Amino acid sequence: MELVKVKNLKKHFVNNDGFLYKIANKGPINVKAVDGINFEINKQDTLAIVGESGCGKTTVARSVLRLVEPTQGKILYKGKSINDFNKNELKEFRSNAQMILQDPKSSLNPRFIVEEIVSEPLYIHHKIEDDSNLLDRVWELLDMVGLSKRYSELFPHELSGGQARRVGIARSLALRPEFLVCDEPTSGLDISIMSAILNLMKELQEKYRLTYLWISHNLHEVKYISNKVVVMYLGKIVEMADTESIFDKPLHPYTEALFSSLRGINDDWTYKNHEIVKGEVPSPIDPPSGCSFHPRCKYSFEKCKKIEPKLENKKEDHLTACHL
Amino acid sequence: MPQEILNINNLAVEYKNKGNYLQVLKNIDLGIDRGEILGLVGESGSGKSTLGKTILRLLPDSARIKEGSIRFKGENIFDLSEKKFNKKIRGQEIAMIIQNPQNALNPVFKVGTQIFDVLYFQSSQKKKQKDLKKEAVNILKKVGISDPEYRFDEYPHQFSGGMKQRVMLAMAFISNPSLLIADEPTTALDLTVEAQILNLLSNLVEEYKTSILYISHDLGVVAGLSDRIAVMYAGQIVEVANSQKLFDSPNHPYTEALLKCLPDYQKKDKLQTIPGEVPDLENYPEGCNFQSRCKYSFDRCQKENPNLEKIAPEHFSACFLNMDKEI
Repeated sequence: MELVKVKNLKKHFVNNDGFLYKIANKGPINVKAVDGINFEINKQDTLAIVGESGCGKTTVARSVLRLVEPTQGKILYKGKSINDFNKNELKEFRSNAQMILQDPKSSLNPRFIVEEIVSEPLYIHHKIEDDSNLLDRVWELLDMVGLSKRYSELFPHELSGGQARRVGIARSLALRPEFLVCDEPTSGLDISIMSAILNLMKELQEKYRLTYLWISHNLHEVKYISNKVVVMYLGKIVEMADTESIFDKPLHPYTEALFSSLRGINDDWTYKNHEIVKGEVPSPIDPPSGCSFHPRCKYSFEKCKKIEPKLENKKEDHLTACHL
Repeated sequence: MPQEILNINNLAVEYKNKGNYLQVLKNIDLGIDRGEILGLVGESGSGKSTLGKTILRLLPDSARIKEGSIRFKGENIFDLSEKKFNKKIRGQEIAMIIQNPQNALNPVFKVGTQIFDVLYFQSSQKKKQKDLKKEAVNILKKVGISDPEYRFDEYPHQFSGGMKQRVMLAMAFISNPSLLIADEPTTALDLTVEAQILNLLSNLVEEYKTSILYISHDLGVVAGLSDRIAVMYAGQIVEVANSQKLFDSPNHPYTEALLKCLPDYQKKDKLQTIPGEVPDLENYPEGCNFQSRCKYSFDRCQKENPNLEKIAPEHFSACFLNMDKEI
């Protein structure tokens, strides 16, 4: 059963203010951060969005939680459009769908102790009947993420990166959500701590039947945690498939290039004899004509420059947008 | 036998903190051969950047060298005067590229001018401005910047992160250094751009026969780039080996645990973790630094600190387990 469904989502950021723009009268600049994407997340699944910086993955995450209003398209949560929610419905949605933010330290209020940080969502959503068992609830939440009771009295600056991350996860779980958006939850952490956080997320998913939208650029991590992978390039989905099938045989040339740097550490692969993609991600203000990847693609031919490929089903449930 | 260009012998570095000296590096023994890429890996706070800075004598005033020596081409760099070191070695024989290229380029000067300046101070016989500019454009071209004549007159903010790192590489290679210290040069870059930069770096190394000390926390990058790998933990080098050997048969329990932490994609079961945390600088445990987190630790580990010993040809490890095996 699908929990979240994204239908033809578009988010364009328009920049037409500023004194000089008005004088030059050049017309508004339209940044197509997300340009028409469709996907769905089934219950208890982990859908990972991968892509380079500026491809729109964070904008998708924010739209899914209605932190930004989409320019076009709909997001359905349990069959209902979240953009049409009224105040009360939105509040309920907010307690069901939570986000784990990218930077573990700056997402915690430096003047609050851990107890206050973790219990704040409970206050906001009036989930506390009695102050006396509040601390028990905080301890229970800390215990869920593997922290002992003594951490409830500490300030964020007294925590290490991994501990701060765990506190952030505990806060997200305080309202017993069903759906979690994880925006690069392991970036900036050391390898040993990263693996501990991945274990914890997987454990929590099984225990509390959580559904994750996982955003990352670490492919090792994506392969480990997700069931389904969406590859984005310049605001569009270029490939979407089950984790096994996409890592086994990527179909789109961009995915192929991205995954080629992921050979196992045990073979003779080196950067010296590695065939690399040329160039860099073009600006979303002025994307190339036709297929947006064609200037960097080694297989590109005439058709790619003119016609934009559609996302099509090439193999069973393996969708890709390529003319090849 | 390849020539050794850098030799670090029993180095110990301390930082002053509230009147006490804290040991940041101790017992560092490491050599780098000509044309070799040595990867230095470790978690944050293990002292890998401090080691890089010590080689270039860029440590802050609060730090002091407690003991040991760093010999560059046979000469102890701590014996040189600051002036002589600056003139002969820093930026000439040993160059460095840093993590964030944004901070390394001056934002108010054109990129071309900054390369031009390096060339100007580099050339002993003062060349004509025109020739130098031509040379600077050629260098930009060489590191793969398209349309170099036009790019010469642009400012750093008009360059992307990958291009800035290319410019940094170009500037580092102008003096044809014997040793390049690269301190996590690709952390801020995207995957495809990272692969481009590392490919460029590998090619430059082959052309100029430069040795590289590549500091990183990403085992995957180091595996694809370096000939030899040194693993650091809490201010000490715990294992040094040939890249292939290190990944195939890690010896030190820390290296072994670190490799098992990698989310390897063949298995879907639980990842291994290292219990506990990196010990605090102020209270290192007695004995081996890794002892409290090590699953093999025994009595001796709590009393003595193991030294880096040879366990196989070109494979060094600091662990008591090996010594017992020999006895």
